[in-house]
Amino acid sequence: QFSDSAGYVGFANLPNQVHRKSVKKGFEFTLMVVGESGLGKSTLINSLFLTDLYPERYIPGAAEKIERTVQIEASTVEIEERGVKLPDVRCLSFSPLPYHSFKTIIHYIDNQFERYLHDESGLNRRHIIDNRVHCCFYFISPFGHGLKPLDVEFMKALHGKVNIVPVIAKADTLTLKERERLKRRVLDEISEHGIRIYQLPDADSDEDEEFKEQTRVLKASFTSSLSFIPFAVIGSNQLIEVKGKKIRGRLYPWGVVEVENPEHNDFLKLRTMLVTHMQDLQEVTQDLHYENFRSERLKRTGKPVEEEVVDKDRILQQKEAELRRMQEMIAQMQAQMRMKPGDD
Amino acid sequence: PHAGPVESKNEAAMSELVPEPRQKPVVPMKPMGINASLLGYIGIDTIIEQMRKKTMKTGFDFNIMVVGQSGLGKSTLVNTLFKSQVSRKSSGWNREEKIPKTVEIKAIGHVIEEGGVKMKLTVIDTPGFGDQINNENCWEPIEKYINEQYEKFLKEEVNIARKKRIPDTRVHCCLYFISPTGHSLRPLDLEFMKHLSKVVNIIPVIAKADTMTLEEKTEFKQRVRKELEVNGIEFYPQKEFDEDLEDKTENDKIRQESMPFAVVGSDKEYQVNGKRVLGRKTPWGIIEVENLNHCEFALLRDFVIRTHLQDLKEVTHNIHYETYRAKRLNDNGGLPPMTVETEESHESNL
Repeated sequence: QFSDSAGYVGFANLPNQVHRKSVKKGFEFTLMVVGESGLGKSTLINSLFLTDLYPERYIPGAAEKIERTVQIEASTVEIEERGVKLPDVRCLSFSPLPYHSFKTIIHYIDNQFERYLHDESGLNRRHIIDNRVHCCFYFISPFGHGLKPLDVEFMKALHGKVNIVPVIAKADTLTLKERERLKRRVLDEISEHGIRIYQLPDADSDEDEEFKEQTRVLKASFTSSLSFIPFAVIGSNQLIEVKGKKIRGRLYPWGVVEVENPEHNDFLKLRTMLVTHMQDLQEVTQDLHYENFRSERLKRTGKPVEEEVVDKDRILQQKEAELRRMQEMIAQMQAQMRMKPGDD
Repeated sequence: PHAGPVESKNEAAMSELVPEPRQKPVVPMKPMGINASLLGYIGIDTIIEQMRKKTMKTGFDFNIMVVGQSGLGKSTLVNTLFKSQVSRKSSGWNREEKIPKTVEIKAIGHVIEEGGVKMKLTVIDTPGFGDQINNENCWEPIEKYINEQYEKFLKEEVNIARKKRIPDTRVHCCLYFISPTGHSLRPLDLEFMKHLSKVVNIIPVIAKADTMTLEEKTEFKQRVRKELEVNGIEFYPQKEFDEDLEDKTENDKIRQESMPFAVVGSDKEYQVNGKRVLGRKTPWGIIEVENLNHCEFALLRDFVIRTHLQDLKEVTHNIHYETYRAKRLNDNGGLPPMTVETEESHESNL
């Protein structure tokens, strides 16, 4: 493995060292799915991770639906394969009704940022848990002609806070032509409204020879990633026998829709994208969304938000506010520490 | 109609419903067979490949400090380690270059590349250490330098608009050169390592090991290990930071048998058995630097570069830096004091 050829030092091995460490450490990943109730979010999550996270849910009647404006279901899935521990994936499902609760979702996301900021500023940073939302699947109804006004509002409110991946739900209600038309429409509207969705990192062309055959298909789909977003998906909790195999699908009189058949829908591509981009999704959350939150948060001194005015007094005020916050935190911790005798 | 109360009820409901500490899986996973297919198709390899891509794109910093009396072969060793002239040898033969009156800190950076991976290597030399008549406290300028790098990093970290990748000038590894007297450690050696092992990863090496026979080497190493233990000096890899059994087993072997590495450095090549090797030519034979029968250079190289490079950085960041930061926050009741420097650098960020 280590070549002792002249001139070879060996630090090209570093990526392996980095990988080994992060594999051992593992990391936390939170996936949020947002969309109208009844679009198949829970079913899709079950299909994604091949588990029944939500066995036989109770579907509320119309009258009760008005009362329950936000349903939050959270569950954790541990994925392990070949001794490689992938992140703990936590799935949150939100079903908002119009106008009431996207603020609630925003608050939730902000709260996680706030908590992380607090932990990051603390004294003991060894075991910070990352509960921030790393990815949001936004479910678009297949029954309309594109984005609804609610969809636009929602995505615009969320795109500065979380990586948005638009998904067309229940894609089996559409023919392939209708699907293409809807996708194009949705993409146009997304760009029209200036909505920023998650961009897949570009695959470099000079890596072709390095990728193995089994990932060739994967790469091909990424070089033209735009043609697959939004992902048109189908989910199913049922196993159906097709050609002697049991597969996840939906049985209709006119045929069987197979969840994992790339010719029937984009489910596999969505799943592949999620699993192989978990790290990138987490990084973009950290480097972009969280940093934006953090700098906005630290700038706020309680006064109404003004335009960016650069002057020394303002900087001084900010630093003093920061100092005060830190001092409060320290005072709290010191008080706690004083209660423990003999520690240092 | 229900705008106000419903919303606040939801917020309350929200904080109740979402579990706070992450719980273990609520639903047990299906048997491995089905799940293996989930990722079998995709291939764990692509995930590894993505990480490799990312590391290669961003490159990485590595800062190594060398400490020891002049003439112990520090620069030669570093050049040998990285197979390039990254450290300028102090020409001891040149009468114009005097030994500095105090300990100087000289940091020189180089970018070297291998297999598509770019490394920004900084070698921090400490000429003057241990060379004075009175060497009291000559470790102080070194400790000061190390802490200054922690301070620099901390200042950048607490900035409002901070850089995505904070430039890392912190010392990841300090090679301490022990003179091959064959007797024992000198008081200066113990002084230095006692103080500095608390702030930086110290890797002790026995320099110019070709002055000792195999028996002398083994005995000397044992004695040095004993002395370090008796004096409570924790060199890298520190026992308390072993993360799991796998680490502990691997590191125990290194701590108890291999370290301190007895090394020989050279930037000259000779022909041995048809191969070109780095070595030192003497009338009684050629000492091959990379030959494990001759010296432990290859062990040191593999240890620092091929297996523990990332860990050296992580221990520096997660342990030494955090210790510094916690002390800083406690001492000052808050952030680092505002200096003119801070304001200027802040303005340049805006």
